[in-house]
Amino acid sequence: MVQFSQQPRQQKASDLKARHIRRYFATVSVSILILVAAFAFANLQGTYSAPPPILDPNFKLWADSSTGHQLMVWGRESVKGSFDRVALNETVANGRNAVELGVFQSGEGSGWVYEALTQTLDGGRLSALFGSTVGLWFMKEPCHCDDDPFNRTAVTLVVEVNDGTHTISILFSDKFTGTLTMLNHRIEFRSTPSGTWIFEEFNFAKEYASAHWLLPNSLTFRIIFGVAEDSSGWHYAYLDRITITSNYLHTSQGTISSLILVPATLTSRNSD
Amino acid sequence: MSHFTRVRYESFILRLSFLFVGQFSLYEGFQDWNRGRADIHPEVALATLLIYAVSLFIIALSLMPDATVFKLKDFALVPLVLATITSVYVVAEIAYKGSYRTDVLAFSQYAAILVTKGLNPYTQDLTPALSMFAVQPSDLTPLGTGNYLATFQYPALHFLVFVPFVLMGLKDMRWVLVMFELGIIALLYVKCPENLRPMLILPLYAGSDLMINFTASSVSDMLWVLPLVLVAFTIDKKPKLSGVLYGIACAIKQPPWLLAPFIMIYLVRTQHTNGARRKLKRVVEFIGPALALFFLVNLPFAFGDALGWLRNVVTPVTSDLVILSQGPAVLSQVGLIDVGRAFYSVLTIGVLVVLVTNYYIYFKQLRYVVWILPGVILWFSYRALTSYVIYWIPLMLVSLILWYNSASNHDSRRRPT
Repeated sequence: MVQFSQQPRQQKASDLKARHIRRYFATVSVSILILVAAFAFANLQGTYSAPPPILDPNFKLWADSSTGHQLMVWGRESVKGSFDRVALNETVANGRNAVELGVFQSGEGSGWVYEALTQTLDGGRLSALFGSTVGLWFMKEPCHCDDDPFNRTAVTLVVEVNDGTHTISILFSDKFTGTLTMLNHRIEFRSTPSGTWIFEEFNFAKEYASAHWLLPNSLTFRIIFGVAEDSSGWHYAYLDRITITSNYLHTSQGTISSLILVPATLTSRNSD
Repeated sequence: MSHFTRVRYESFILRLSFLFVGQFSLYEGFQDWNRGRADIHPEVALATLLIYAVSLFIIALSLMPDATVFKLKDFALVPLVLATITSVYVVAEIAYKGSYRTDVLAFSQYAAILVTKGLNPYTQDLTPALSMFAVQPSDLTPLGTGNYLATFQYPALHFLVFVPFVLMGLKDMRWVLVMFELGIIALLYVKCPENLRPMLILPLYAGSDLMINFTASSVSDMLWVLPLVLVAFTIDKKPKLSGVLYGIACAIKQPPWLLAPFIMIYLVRTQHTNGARRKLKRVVEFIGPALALFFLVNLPFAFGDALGWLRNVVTPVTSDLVILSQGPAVLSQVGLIDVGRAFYSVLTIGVLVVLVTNYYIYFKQLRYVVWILPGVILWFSYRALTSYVIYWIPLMLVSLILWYNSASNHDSRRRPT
């Protein structure tokens, strides 16, 4: 008898309990989620990794198209006369996989011949570029430029950023150092040996700051290989890869820019 | 509601559907005429003419007498299917000149080609696929290092499904996706109660992305939607068959994996018995065939390099993919907040847990909502693309049919005799 009367009571109690759970569960569970999210948000500040400023930095992505074997992600620009030629190849140079920028100066025109690899940056990628130190492994020919980096026999490799108004060029030569700042163009000469692999780093935010220019909303990054009119024949420059090192240090207190911590090492080599 | 009122109401909705179909098809016809350069492509000119003709006809049909309207209700499918096929052709073959606009389909077709040559796609560099199918740089998947994804990151059925078509010499696998799409429409139409036709399929065409643009752009998700639609239709009465179909869906792509906890709850809560053993049996009947099918398809490719296979299929979780989102993570992308992948992963797991537990507790109320819940979860992840959400819509339509049938049965039981 006792058992029979207890069963509905137990059922009733369990129904009541279930109803109580159902009444508050959604609110409680969403509240816990909000608390967890808020805790995570507070503790994971400064963890956002910006998108990569330079895409395909190892020059790995090639595609065959109607114009031949081309780097897929990098744009390609050239300036040449009717008899001049440019070439872009995958190769191995001094034991490293490399991109070979080839320029044939016919000597029959009246100007330089250029070939360039380009990428245009804006938004998060541009912010990341200005928050990073960009490095380039390259191997170049001797400059042949005597006392004038832009004489008629010059062979130059240049890393350049151009925002449509201002241009910053970093020119690798055999002996020149220093900086030349004009109204909208800043050229930094870096003395680098030829015929061997060299690693050079650039901090474009610092370059803009040194030139007292505001950081732009977009820019084009170029690696330019140029040959002046009197250096007839084929000339080559080799690129191995680009490295990106973030200048921001993530700490438990937040993000610190190394721009503030590190003195302007590059400008110490400048003459201005 | 009286019979007369009901017929008038159904007739009104049907007429509205005809106007929607006519207007949508006219829109697509004009788009095709424009982007398909009908002035120089005779096939586009002919297809456009046909689309305009059937669109105008169905618009006129919307205000004809009831008898005609009800008799020709299925005609609504004609302009939609015609517009779908023509638009996919125009976008894929003329506007995109045959190139694939995702690396996914390029990698999948290339993987299928590798399989026909006896190679394991999980151990190969798939970069050649990018130039083979003219994938544009903007359509690649970048990693945090600036390099690009060049491995196969989906379960094996994602490329195995293309193997017969590769052997048949089909060049553009988007037509396989279109076949799956038409299969979904047909299935929904056949399973739909007659008085809901053709209204039920209209949400698929609320915008051109789901049925046209995404497929033409080589988004491959239709492949898993079709088996999942079948899962939804069979889960109540044939759990073993439903399990096999779920195994197929999971062996194609990862999004259906997120359904697993919800399906388990569904199986347990829809069992009208308190016996734990019977509930467990039902779960096992479903999960056993699903796991068997999944491993049957994938094991041959995991045998050689099990870790490599696993690393590839969990790429979205373990790889250094960049944040790309139409969900909350866009706030990081645009620089409004400074939290990264870890935060969005915590958020996603938190939302998953909340939804699973709430689905269990409020099963009675949420039973039919289940199919959009994975889309909600994915929306919080650090990579939340529209395609992660929009492809659950056909499943929601299945749920709508099941809800309607269940509500109708309920009503008929309550009706006094």
